[in-house]
Amino acid sequence: MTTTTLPSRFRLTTHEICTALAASGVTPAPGSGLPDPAATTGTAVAPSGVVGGDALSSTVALALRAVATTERILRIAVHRPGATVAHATQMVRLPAPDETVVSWASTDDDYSFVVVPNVNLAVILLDQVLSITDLVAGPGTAHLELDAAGFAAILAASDACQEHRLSERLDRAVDPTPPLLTAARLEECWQHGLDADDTRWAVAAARFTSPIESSTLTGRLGEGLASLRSLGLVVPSSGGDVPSDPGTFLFTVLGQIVASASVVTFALVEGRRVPLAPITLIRTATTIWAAGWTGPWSQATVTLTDLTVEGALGMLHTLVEGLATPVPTRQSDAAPSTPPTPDGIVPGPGPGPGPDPDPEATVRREDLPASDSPTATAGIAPAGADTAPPAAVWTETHAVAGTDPAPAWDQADPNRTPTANLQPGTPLRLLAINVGWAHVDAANGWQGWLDASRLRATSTATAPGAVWTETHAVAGTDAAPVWDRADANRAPVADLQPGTPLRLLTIDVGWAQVDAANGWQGWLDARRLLQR
Amino acid sequence: MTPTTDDRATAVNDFHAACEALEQIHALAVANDFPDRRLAAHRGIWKQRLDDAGERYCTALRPVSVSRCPYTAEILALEIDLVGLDGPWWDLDSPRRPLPAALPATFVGFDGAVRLDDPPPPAPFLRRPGPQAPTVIERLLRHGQVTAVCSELRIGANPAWLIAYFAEPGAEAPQPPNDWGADQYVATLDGGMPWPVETEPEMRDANIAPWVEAGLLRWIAPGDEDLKLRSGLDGCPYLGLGGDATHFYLRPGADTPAVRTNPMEKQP
Repeated sequence: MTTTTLPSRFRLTTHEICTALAASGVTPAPGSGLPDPAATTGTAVAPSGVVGGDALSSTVALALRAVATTERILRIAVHRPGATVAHATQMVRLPAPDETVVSWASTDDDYSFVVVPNVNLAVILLDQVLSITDLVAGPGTAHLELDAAGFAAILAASDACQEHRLSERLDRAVDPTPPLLTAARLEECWQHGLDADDTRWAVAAARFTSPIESSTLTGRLGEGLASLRSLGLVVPSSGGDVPSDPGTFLFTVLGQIVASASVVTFALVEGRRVPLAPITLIRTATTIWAAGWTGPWSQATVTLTDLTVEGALGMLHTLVEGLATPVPTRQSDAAPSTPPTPDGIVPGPGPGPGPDPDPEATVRREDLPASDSPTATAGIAPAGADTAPPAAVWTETHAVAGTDPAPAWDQADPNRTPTANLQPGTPLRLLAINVGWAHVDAANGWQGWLDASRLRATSTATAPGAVWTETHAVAGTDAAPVWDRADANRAPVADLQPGTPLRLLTIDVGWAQVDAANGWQGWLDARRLLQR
Repeated sequence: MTPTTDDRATAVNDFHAACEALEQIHALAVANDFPDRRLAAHRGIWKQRLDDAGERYCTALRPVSVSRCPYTAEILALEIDLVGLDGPWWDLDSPRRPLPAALPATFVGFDGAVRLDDPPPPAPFLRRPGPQAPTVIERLLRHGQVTAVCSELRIGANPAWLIAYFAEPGAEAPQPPNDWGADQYVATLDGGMPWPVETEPEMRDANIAPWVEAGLLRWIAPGDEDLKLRSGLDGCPYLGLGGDATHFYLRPGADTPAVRTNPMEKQP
């Protein structure tokens, strides 16, 4: 039962923080964003009013200690049209059951702190920053899975449509025509966005808030346009493509950006801050979009979801709640069969010993939160040896079934040695399924493969998105029997021919729930699904 | 799907969280700590969550056969939260209770008592589960055509007693008492619409023996699943139970009861 306490707010200079940290004997952990007390000594902080006698006030001491030592930090950098600098806010939470959350932001030499007693108030603070409740939002039904080139194409197409719309208005056109989208036109809009700073335009907004170097996508807009076609967002027309109805909706709302933000949780693992879940959040006049990024960088994929106001606040609540989760230690190469960490997860490649980082990784270093810089801005993933593959908006969909640990592999190949044993109940997210193998990741970014029959669903089936996309097909050469329920004791209701295009909805102890483009749904043996 | 104890626990947790969030938002509003518009938006969201949790909670409550009409022998089944005193069924000011199901036509109302053998679980609302021993409402038993029936329940690990009042078929029924644990009773308007009616506290008598002896308070033996009606002082297990016979209140968030005397009650 929480008590009703109002937020505490205070402001400190760099010098005051150094003195206060030195006075309380706290050394900031790497990447905490606090200044190094070794740089300053000896001057009292009394003028700030945060000390009484020789002691720091308990709230200030608690806040500084939390910021300096907490393992997880949520960084949100918001870009608003007209502002040349992002507004960065960072948050830590005290270990459960304490719900206290400390939020701070810095400008030049000033640090503003807000200490709130619980997660609900922290969400109101974040809402203040992100303008979630300021405007209406969409129905929360659209859900698109696409690669980075496809995401880039959506942004470029949005800018192209906005330009077209504005141009027609200026021309006082009485009979509007649909904008023609070609690879060349999208490349042009993409380049225009990369050269501009006005975050009312989709490309520019995403450029500042995406975890990958946007310029690496130059030249891939034709590929992206093909993705839009396969998603049904554009349809072929004379001389190019034109937006379909869903595409028109998406490109129109992304032409009304109110704010865009990068939202990233960083975990302190073996002395380094590792980004866990990069999200690009776009607030438009009528919708809220969350783009969750999944690595590795060279093959980054994006889950673009339309959120309701409630859904966006829920996502923020989950992120703040998750700040109290202990950071698991990584599995050492020297002991590949080491059992998973207490929460059942072995982190994937990251800092310290482990696979080499993706050599193709390219990240905007200028946006990194310089580990000890008080002026850290956007929460963008650092590159190279400092990075771990990012996860998208992570939501548990499955858990390890049964009572025995489930072996997991780094590739879907039983001839290789398992790289981890996942404890029963370990929360996982299903990324893909392929001929009985399940590709999963964990909240800390670890990814691996395991037998799909070792997964049980912990959430309801994926909400069908606005656009049906084939994710799998029936494997093999024989027809695959399907059931109306995951119950082999019932009679199959149909046989699906090899190659039948399907969309995977969920997986449960070896059963796969799928639907077809015509809306039909059913269950079949997950080993009969071939990933597209 | 039949609701489970987990469904009830989840709904209660969500309900408590929403109550606390609304309390926090109210405190922020009073302190003028955030713009009103933003707080109003969050208040609306949490109010919706509160209502959703309240609905899920009501769905998780199942009818329990608790008593029997002494005139028609019809069984009285009520949807009471017997799991614990932390459910919003027990919210004194705004109880969350399912709409009344089919009740015997002779049913007038119900009251109750709980003895706190175990510390009550905390809840973010004011509760008044009753006295710690059965009492009767004198006004109803002096009506002349009303009989009460006392039966035993358990709320969590605590013994509890339900006193149901029934009127003779065809008699002009008296005004019902407040429902157990509430400052209101639910009346049925013309057309069947249930409507809460707030009433004043009334005189209770904790000395129930004379009423049992007079045949105006009948009883059902503890654990009797057949709900057989019994009469008379002989073998009546509800006499001399001890405990405090005055109403007690559980304050929001408090773990211990604050016993307070109702000036309208007779002392045992």
